Amino acid sequence: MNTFHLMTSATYWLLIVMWAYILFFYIRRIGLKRVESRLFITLIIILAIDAFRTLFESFYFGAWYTSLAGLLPMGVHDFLSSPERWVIPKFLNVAAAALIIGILLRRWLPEEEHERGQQEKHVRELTETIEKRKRAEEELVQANIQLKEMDRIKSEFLATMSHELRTPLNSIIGFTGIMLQGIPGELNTEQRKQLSMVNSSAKHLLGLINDILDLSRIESGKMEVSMERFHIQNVVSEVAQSLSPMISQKGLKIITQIPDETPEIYSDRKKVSQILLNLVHNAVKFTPAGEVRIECKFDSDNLEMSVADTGIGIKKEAMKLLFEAFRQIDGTVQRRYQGAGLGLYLCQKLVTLLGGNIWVESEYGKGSKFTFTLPLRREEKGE
Amino acid sequence: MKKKILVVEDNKQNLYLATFLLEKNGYEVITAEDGLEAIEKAKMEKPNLILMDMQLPEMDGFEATRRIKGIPELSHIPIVAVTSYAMVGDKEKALATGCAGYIEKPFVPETFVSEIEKYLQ
Repeated sequence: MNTFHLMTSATYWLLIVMWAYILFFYIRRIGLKRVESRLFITLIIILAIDAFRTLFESFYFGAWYTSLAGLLPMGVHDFLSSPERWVIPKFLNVAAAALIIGILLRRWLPEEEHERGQQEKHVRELTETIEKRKRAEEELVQANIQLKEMDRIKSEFLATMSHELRTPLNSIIGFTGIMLQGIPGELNTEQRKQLSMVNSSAKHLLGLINDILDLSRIESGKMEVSMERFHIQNVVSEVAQSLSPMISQKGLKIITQIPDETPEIYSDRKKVSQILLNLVHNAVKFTPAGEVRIECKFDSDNLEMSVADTGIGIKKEAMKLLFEAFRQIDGTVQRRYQGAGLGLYLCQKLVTLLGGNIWVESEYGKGSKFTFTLPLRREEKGE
Repeated sequence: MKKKILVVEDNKQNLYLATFLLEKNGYEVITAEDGLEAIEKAKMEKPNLILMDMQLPEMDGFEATRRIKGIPELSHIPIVAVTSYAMVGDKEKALATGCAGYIEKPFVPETFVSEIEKYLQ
């Protein structure tokens, strides 16, 4: 046994253990988890490959000298001593280093990579969601612009259309009015009767066109309100006056109950008149016999007007449709009582515009009572 | 002497209606069918009052009013705007342009003349 050889081989084995130990703890201490930059990883790999090369060389020489010391079978010595075998350890060394690093990296990196991958995925998903949202938002903005434009065109169209429709009506109402006044010459009874039919039909048509126009205005927020102080009593009288032919024709009784001490109201006179006219007209229209009662109450802030009739009434299920546009309760009624079904919808819009409320109580077959409130606005000064 | 009224209106039927009502009530009526013609007629005839429809072809009533008010020898003539309920803001615009007042279409034959007479004082 050659002592020198034995000692050399032992030294090499010690070296191997040392290197393995250093390498192991080095990689563990650094903690691949904490490795932030790829540069650092590369450095570690280079160091590791070098370490492995030394390790393998040491292993080779360890084995060589161990065999020289006669501690290994002679076959091992022969295998190691043939010069072409020298090449193999070099390859083995690199391959093994790569393999081991690979294994280590696979153990430690994936967590990191996985985590980072997850984060990146999250970020990507978030970015995508944000982009989607942005696109949706843009689309909404676009759609909104288009809608507003369409709405503007609609309102403009309605305004122009109704202007065009009213121009010929102006002359129809005007000329029939003149002829009914007898200015161009006397009319016989039948002519007068027929001409007043033309006149009232034209006025009715004008009313419908005005309703549509008012609606389009309210809906586009262009309704103008002109406020003034006035007595509600005067408006009620005017409304009753204008409907008196229809009332007397149906043989109805109209009762108005307005306390003398009712204060003046500050509101839009024309619109209040329009609301009342609509409600009273409806009451008269849907009441075959009996009475229509117009009542007024007030407290410190509000005026409450009600129009009650003894007419056909409204079914419960129909009540909620009552204030919708273009609704007249059931088709058969519509056949019997003409109208576009705009009146109550318009009333509701007007009352809301003036700052009040409108509601209905009704018993089918017995009659209905429409009530609306208006703020008195006592503190406002009239002109 | 009869008072002269210039009626500016592009719709022939309505023009005739206004003319008829005014002539029946003893006025002399001159007519024009657009803004430019209105200015010409005003210069020639020097009417006591102009009844101006605001919606006219060629030159609208606002522009015609502005121009007439800009001519020194015509600026004193009261101009009554005929506005349509259909056009939001026309009344205010008419008054701002220099009209003495406005009447709303459709005309009510019963009150049409008396409304115009208010501006003839």
